[in-house]
Amino acid sequence: MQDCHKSQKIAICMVGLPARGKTYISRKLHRYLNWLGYNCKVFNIGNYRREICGTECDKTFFDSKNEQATKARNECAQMALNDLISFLNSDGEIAIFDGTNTTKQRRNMVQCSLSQQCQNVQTLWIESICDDADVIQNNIRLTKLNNPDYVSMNPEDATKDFLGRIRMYEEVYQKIELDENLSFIKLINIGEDIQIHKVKGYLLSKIISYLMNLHIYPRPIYLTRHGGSTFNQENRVGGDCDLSQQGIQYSEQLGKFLLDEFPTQEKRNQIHCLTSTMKRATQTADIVCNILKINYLQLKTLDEINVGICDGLTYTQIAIQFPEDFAQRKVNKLTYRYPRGESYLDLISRIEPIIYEIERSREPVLVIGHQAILRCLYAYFHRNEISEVPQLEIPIHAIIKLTPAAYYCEEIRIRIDPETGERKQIEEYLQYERVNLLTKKKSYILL
Amino acid sequence: MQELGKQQKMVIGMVGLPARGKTYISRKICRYLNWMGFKSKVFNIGNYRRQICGTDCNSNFFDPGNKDASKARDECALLALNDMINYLRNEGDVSLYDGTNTTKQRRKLIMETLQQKFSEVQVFWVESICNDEDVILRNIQLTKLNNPDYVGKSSDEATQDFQQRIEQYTKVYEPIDMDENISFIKIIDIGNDIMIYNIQGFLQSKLVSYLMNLHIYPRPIYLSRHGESQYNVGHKVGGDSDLTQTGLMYAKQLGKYFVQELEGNRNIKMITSTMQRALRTSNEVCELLGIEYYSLKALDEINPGICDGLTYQQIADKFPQDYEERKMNKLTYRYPRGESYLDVISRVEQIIFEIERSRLPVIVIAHQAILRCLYAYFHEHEVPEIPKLNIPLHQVIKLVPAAYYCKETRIKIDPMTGHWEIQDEATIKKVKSFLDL
Repeated sequence: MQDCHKSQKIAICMVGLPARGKTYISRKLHRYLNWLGYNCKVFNIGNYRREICGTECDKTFFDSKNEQATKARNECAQMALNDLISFLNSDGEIAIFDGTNTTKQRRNMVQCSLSQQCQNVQTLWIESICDDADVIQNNIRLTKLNNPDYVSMNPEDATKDFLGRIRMYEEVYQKIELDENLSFIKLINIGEDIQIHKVKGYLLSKIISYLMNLHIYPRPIYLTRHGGSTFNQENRVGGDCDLSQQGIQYSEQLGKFLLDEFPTQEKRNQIHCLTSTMKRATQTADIVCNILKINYLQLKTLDEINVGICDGLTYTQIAIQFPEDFAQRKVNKLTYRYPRGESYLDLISRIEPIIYEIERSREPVLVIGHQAILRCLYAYFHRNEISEVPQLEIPIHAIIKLTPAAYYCEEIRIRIDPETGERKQIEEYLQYERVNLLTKKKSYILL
Repeated sequence: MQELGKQQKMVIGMVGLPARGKTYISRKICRYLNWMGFKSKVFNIGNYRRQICGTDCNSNFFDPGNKDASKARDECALLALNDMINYLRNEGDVSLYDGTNTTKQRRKLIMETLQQKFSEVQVFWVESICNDEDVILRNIQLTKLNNPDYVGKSSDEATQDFQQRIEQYTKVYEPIDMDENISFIKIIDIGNDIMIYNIQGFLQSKLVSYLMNLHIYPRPIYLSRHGESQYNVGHKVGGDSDLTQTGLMYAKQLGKYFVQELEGNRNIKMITSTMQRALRTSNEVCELLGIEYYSLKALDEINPGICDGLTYQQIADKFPQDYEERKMNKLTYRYPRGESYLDVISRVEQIIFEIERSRLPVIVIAHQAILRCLYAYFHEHEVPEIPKLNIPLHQVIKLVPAAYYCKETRIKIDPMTGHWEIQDEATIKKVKSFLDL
């Protein structure tokens, strides 16, 4: 769908006091837009400030009367903005300017720079307002205390200093007003109240719809493939075959595993179970939901990738009968479309409404799906690059549990032996992610 | 798309001064919900008032100081409310309460009545605020002057009286306040500003996305099938066959039609499917127009699964049970390994949003089942009728959104001679249905 709408560049600018979820929103949007196929990047002013001014900045650095510090902070903002503009003027499509931007003066400077120096850009301002002290305290605990700014402090001192920092900002905070002539959306108290002004265009409307569905309830999402099927055993693609004997066993063991995960019937009743319309998935769901005593929803949108003319063939047969297609698919598995079938990009487009529904849900979600479908879903939650999607590993007879945390998803993978029911944790991705965050990907450092 | 979890019954209450588009919005929402599979109905308080108090009500009737009239109006409001609740108790999923509901007291009365009589229902309010005098005047001219209230009066008289009626309402108007503790969306100046408060649930979320895309630019929508394909000639379903010679000629004639129709305007949006017959047709048209088209998999024809490439006779022979099943319920029947019409409606929903959003003319070159679903949405057909709608080859359907309906024109184009035959249909039918609101 997006090709129709790639004419304009988009700059999204955040506004709000510290600990209002600006980085959370920026990173969610970043993930969503990249998953849809847009070249999107976040420019976090705090990171620039840390690199240039160092991390030993206590709250007095943020005092608006501290002239030297204010000058330094403005320079950092300008540098981040310059990089953002360069990004949009080259191959960047959507840029997110993650900073407080709490004064009219700052917003005016940003808006002017963008309109003057970027060719053909649409800007959207997202203001996050929150006056719930508990939520703010929780935010600080979850995201600030691990911040490089507070590496050497104990949590109590760090919290005190951070609250002091917020007060510095509050002194000069000016909420977005209509006379600033900006396109904006105000999210108040995590979307309880939303105000939208002058937002037009395909992508901006989509972003608004997406933002409306976000919340911070940490509900778990379980992804699993259907039990092994007869086609799986024969290494065939497509088809609508039944479960194999092993597949049936897996389904039973999966049901037992979930019984343990959700110890009471009340908790089990909250689970939303989604599956496709294909036999191997519905047969798995039948067995699992029978054990859990819940219902499941069949959605055609979760059906496996349509392999068109290759339906029912093994990979070897495809290589022999359609050598050109086989080679093409190897070269670009993401965009290659099976003749009379689909591509991974078609899949992503197809399952987008499911992403909205899962985001919106405040209760646990269990998806019993297929390999290609789950690759796309998993990539969204796990922030994988879109190019990685077709190679992601989603093994059979294993369940992936994702729990959204501050800026990423905690992941646990458990392989369940169909015969013995033995459960073995495959890898713990959380540790891996932390290492990456601290050493390699600085732009994702927790603010 | 279904919600995760149970869908509650819902009441959508409209709020706003007269001539602010409440009926327009109610009817749009009603159409969208029905098309999506939620049984919906609009209950227009004005109609109840006309039935009970007659149509000879001038602006004095709406004076809040006029006690008798106020009492009568309250009674009408409650009657409509009762009918609405009965509808939901029986076959309805969503009721739209189309009235001004401009005071806190009235809204409170409705909330309390619903709480008493039907507490399981979700309530969602849509307030339309407009301060643009030109838009308001245009609304009055387009929709009020044909109103039964003003039969026999000159348009000047009617406009003046209606404006006075608006003033009566303005005296007591209280826009929705957050302290009323209700879920609402305020649409200000046709979506220039939108405020949303306390939305709950799948349907409300979807409605908000839908409402954000509405506008009142009267842009035309053109629907056409691809030119005749080889499978069409062989009476086969499915496939990805090429155009026949006749089909190719239609494509060229279609291009010529658009050249004349669009008069050099290149600011249009053309979408088609990923199937050969549609792509080739679009290619021909776009070459003549000098524009580009976008091919979307969402517009691909209904997938006939295992019946792909068979004629209807062969299907009847090889799969007699399926053939019978499909005859009995063409809407819900799903081809094995394929799709049903309901699947197609779900698939095509994003296209509806896209077309609604567009302020440029839209041309859709697609397939029979797909166009049946799209056409049903714009032309307000009941969902069960969709699989039988008449969308023949070599015909362009032009839809122009007017006040409460789409004005439809069908242009038959002869592929050989290029001769056009214009059939202007349905305007009369639609005026009638407005009165039946």
